[in-house]
Amino acid sequence: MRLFKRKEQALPIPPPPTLELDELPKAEHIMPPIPEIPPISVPDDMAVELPQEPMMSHSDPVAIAPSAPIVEKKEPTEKYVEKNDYEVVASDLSTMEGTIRRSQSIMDDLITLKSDADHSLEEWRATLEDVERKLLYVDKVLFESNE
Amino acid sequence: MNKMPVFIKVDQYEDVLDLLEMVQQKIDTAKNTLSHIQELKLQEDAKLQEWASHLQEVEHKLSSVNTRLGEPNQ
Repeated sequence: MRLFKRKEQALPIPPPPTLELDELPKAEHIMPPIPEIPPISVPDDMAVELPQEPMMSHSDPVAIAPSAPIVEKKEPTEKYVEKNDYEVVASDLSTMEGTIRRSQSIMDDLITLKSDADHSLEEWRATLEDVERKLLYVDKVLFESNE
Repeated sequence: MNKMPVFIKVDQYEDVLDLLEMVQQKIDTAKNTLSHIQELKLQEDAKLQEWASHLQEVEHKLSSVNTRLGEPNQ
């Protein structure tokens, strides 16, 4: 058995026929003449008049009141506060900052508790499904085996 | 000697007042949220109580079934 086939030799292409322009067939001899289209007559009851193009309404432009600026520019204000009041305000602000920080810690604890609760709920759901399957099995063993 | 009051200049006083008002609004929002969470917590506690009651009921029934299956002739 041969592994390789011998290439087939291509046949030589014959030269195209030489025709003069006078010898070519004319198109009018090939294609039939196009018949004339008869005029279409529409009966009177089917005649439809196109509606008139609607006119665009013109209205006088309405003046729009200028809106209020979104950001009001405020003049820099300043005020003098008594020293004792200033110290109390500074102390209160410091206390508020500490309280807010402790609240953030409480929020973190709550998020942890919520995550733990979600985990416990998921365990509960799995346990319920397991118990339900076991009860169904017990029910099947007890009652269907006697039938 | 009379003590003369000392004043401290606070720049942008109006801005500070606006910010304090905004903080008050945030605190009101937080209070509403906390109230809603407490309400949800009460509902959650009620559901947990209901769950505990169901567990107790199932446990009682299970004990009864065990008794009857373990001692069928009594």
